[in-house]
Amino acid sequence: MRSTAGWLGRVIVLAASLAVAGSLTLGLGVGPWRLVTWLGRHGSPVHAAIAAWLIAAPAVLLVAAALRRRTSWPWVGATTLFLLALTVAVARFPHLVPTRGWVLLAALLVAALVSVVTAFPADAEEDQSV
Amino acid sequence: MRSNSLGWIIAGAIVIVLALAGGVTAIVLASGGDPTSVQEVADKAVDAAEDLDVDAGIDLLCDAPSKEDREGLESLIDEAQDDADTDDPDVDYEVSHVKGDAEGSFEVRITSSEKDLAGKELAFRVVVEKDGDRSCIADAESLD
Repeated sequence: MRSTAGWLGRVIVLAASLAVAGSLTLGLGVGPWRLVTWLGRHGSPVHAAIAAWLIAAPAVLLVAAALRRRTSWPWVGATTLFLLALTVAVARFPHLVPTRGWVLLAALLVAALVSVVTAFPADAEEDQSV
Repeated sequence: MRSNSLGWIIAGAIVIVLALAGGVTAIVLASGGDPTSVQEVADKAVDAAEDLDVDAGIDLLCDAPSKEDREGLESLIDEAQDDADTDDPDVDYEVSHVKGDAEGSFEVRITSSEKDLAGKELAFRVVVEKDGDRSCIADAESLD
């Protein structure tokens, strides 16, 4: 059950990161590199960094998921940064987030936390392995 | 699911970090002060356009702009920059016909003193609506 919940959590986080990156690269009508440099040039370096990270996040999360059997920390770090970037973006521009966006964000947070919790061995398993 | 102390501790830490980041961002945003009249929206829109301040411009919108609106704005900026042969052309904004209080509309006429943009003029009617306590830009239509 732990492995199923963890797998599902990781799939949801990866799918969400792809959806966000896709909307930034295809949905804005501006090329990704152009979007990032334009934001940087016009006094929004934090937004440029957030946009750059959200565009790169699917690849980073995919690598972190592949490394998960060796160590859970890349997945925890990448997921935390992905959630952090999304949180800051929606807190900065709440009026641009439709109602269903908040619901999806809450569902994503739950899925991401499940993937983080299940990324580490249960205490009993850890005790047995010692 | 068996107990997993480390995982739960990290998940709790992530929730705290997200709450702090979201809370601080929201507090900073709230301290900026939203416009509450058509005139304030017009003034802030001109300030944002003159400074090419993306943050301030997005703050004035009621909803996320459509893809067509974004592409239209992008091509308009590209065209002006190409014609003026500079990334930051000298542009003047003249606001007129401010109608309504918290909701209404205003017109803005855009001209430039750049030699290569001389004679070119853009005019828009900007529709302002109320969203909660704030007045915001709901739509803009070309008058040309």
